[in-house]
Amino acid sequence: MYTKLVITITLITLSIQSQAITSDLKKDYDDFRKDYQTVLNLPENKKEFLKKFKKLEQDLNTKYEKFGQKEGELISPESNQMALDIEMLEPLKIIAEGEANKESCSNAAFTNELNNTSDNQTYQKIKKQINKLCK
Amino acid sequence: MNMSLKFSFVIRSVLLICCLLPIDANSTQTNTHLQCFSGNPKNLQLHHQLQEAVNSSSIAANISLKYGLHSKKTESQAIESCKECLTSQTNTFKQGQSQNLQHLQDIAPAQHSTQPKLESTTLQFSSSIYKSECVQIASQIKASTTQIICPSGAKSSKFNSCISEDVINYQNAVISDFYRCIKAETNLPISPEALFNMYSNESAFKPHYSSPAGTGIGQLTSIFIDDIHQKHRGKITLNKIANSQKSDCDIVKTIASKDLKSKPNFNNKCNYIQYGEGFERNVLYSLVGMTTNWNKDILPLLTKYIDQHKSSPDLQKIKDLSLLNAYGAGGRAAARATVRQLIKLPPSEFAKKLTQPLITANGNNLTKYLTNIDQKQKKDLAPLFTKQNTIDFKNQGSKACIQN
Repeated sequence: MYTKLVITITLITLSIQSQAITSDLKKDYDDFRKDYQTVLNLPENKKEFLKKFKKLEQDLNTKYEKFGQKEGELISPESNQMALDIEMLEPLKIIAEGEANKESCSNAAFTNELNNTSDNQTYQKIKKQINKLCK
Repeated sequence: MNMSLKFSFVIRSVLLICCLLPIDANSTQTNTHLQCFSGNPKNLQLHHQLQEAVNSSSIAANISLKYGLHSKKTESQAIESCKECLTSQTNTFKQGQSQNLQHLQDIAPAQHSTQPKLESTTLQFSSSIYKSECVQIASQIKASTTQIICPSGAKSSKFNSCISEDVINYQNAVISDFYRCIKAETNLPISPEALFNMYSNESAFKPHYSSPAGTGIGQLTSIFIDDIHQKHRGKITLNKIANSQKSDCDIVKTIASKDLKSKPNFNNKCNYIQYGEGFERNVLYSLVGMTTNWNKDILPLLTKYIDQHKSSPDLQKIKDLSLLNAYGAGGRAAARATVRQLIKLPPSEFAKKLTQPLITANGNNLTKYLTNIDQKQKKDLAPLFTKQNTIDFKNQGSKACIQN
């Protein structure tokens, strides 16, 4: 009877674990999302943006990679979200790499359009940022 | 050039002229025998549009000729049916064709004398990639969407034009021809079966479907067409095709060259629908767009993975599905995020996950397009194939639709 109970509890625990991330990973995810919002709300001043973006973007990538290593082959909704978040930032990355010159602004605006249907809310925010950085 | 090659060239020329002859005399007779695989048998708009295109467009005429779409005649039958082309001085050929006629008249008697030897020989036409039956079945998938009649551009959801055998065969030939060119000129890895799934899902091979969500056989959107004309993206492939020296690209390069000079207006949907150039452009653009998706969006994330798993039997499926995901409505970022996530997995798991929903914490499905295709195949396409009971779609999927 006791053995059966232990097996049942173990199976339930394993089942929950396979669908949800641990509290440790949850904390990492929340940190990532907080930093992500910072990037989306970076100053509209071109100099300030160029100075801060690269480091923040690198940190986000590092956090995503560490998260991926910790979760292994689980592929949680949180890491899916982080992967999408990083991809949505690509237009801003193009601007940062091109020092917000004319060509980088044009490429960034176009790349953002290609991302429109992936996450419309973020697309709108980035569109506003591009417009301000490239005016 | 040996004798049989010469003869084949002459016959092809004769058939081209036959294709370009006015067809009014036979059209009524043809119409009474038309079978509609889907649509209203009384609405022959697409059939007539195609006949008109074969008469007026070199692209449509050359496809018809190359794939032997006018008939399945043997060489001797073709000569018999075209005797008038060779003897009559009164035939009304379009400007520029008189030289061809003269050339044929000059050489035809000599060729006629060889006829007995070659009676049983069949012309070597190019073959289409898909079994005609499969395209017929796929065209039976029902969708409620706006349809456009060209050249007027009139819109309605009730046209329901007949999808006849000539329409099916012509579309199959165009897709096959342009696919061969793209494969010869680029590194696009998509398999023909994945391409079949894409067209089935997008339009059920209905060239006149058009809604705000997409236009024509590949359901192209405005941003997708803009992408083809971006200097750092689609134009690279469009240029390659326009400048191709490969015979596989002889027909399609005319569209690529023309469009590089001037981008066709997307507001006129017939530019992407009408047989003769529009439908064909739609096929070309869907393939060029996929090549761009591959080289600019997917391959940079997959290169290392492909290298590590070169011998995996699942690699082709991964490439196919990743590409289709990038082509679909989910957008570039979602398609790339999918690859980013799944390269952590071994190939068999990667391929499996691509057909399952990949949900983000905010509730987006990164593989929505692929799960849609999968569902559509199971719910709509598979039962149609089972009903026909001739193609083993249940076990082989679209692979069963590829010609040997």
